Amino acid sequence: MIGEELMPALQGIVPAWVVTTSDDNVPNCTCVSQVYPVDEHHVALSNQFFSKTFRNLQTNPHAMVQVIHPADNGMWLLEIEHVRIESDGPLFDEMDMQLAAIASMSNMEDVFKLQSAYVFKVHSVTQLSEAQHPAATL
Amino acid sequence: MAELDLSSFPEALALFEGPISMVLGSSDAHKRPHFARAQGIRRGEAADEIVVLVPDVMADPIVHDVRENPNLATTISDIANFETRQFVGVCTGIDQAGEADLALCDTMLERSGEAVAMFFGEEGANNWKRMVTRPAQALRIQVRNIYDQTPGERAGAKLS
Repeated sequence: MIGEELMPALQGIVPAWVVTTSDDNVPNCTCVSQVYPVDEHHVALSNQFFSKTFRNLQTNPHAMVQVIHPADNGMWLLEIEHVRIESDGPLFDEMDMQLAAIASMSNMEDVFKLQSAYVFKVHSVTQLSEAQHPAATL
Repeated sequence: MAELDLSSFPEALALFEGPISMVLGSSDAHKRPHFARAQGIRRGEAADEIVVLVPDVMADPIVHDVRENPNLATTISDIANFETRQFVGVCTGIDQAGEADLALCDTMLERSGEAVAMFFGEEGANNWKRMVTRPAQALRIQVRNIYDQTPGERAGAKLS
C-alpha cells in the first residue's frame, strides 16, 4: 500500500496535515512534523505536544493525513486508523533521530521533542493529481 | 447576534494577510474525518463569520460531510514563522466562489509561493503555485472557538 513513489513525502521535509474527529463529532486539523513509514501497511505520527489530535484518537481512531512530495509538491491523502502507541524501542528511536533533523532544518530544536509514536494502519492512499496543474502549463 | 467577535483576535486575523498554508477539516455522520486544502480565507459579513475557499477539485468530501454534520475546522499556518491558528465552528452556507474570491485565492497562492521559495527555492515555489485554485466553493463558517496551534507548549490552547 505504501509504495516507493510515496516515500519521499514521508521524510518530513514538508510538514504534513492531519485531521481527526472528537467524540462529539468536531473535526480538528493540525500540522504534524512526521509521518513515518513503519512498514508497507503502517505509518507513525510524532506526538510532540499531547494536543487535541491525540486526545481525539483515544475515542475515535480514524484520521486522515495529507503529505506532500518535496520534489514536485504532489499531494497524497492517507486514510488511517490508530492502532497503538510506542514510547520506546527501535521505531521510537528512529523517529526521534529524524525529528531532531527536522527540528534542525526548521530552527525548532528547542520546540520539537518526541513524546511518543502513534502507529496507524493505512487503509487507503490517494494521489490528488487533479489538485495540481501539470508543470508544462506554467 | 454573534457570540464571538473576531475583531477581538487581531493576531489571528493578521494571519489572513500572510503567506499561509491552509486546510479545512470535516467529519461525516459516522465520525470519519475528511480533509481539503483551502486556497483562501476572509472575514464574512457577521462579526463571528469567516469564509473559506476550497477548490472544487477537493471540495466534494467536505460538501458531503456538511450535509450530515455542520462542524468544520480550518487551520492556517504562516509558512515563514509557523504561527498557527485553528478556527472551529459550524457551516452556515456554501456558495460558488465569485470572481473576487477567486482572485483572493490567486493572490494568497502567489504570496505563499514567495515564502515557499525561501525554503525550497524557485523550483519549489513554482511547484507550489501549480495548485489549482479555480473554480472553488465558498464555505461560510460561524466561528465558535479559536485555538493557538503554533508548535510549542501552547499548541492546542483555547483562545476563545
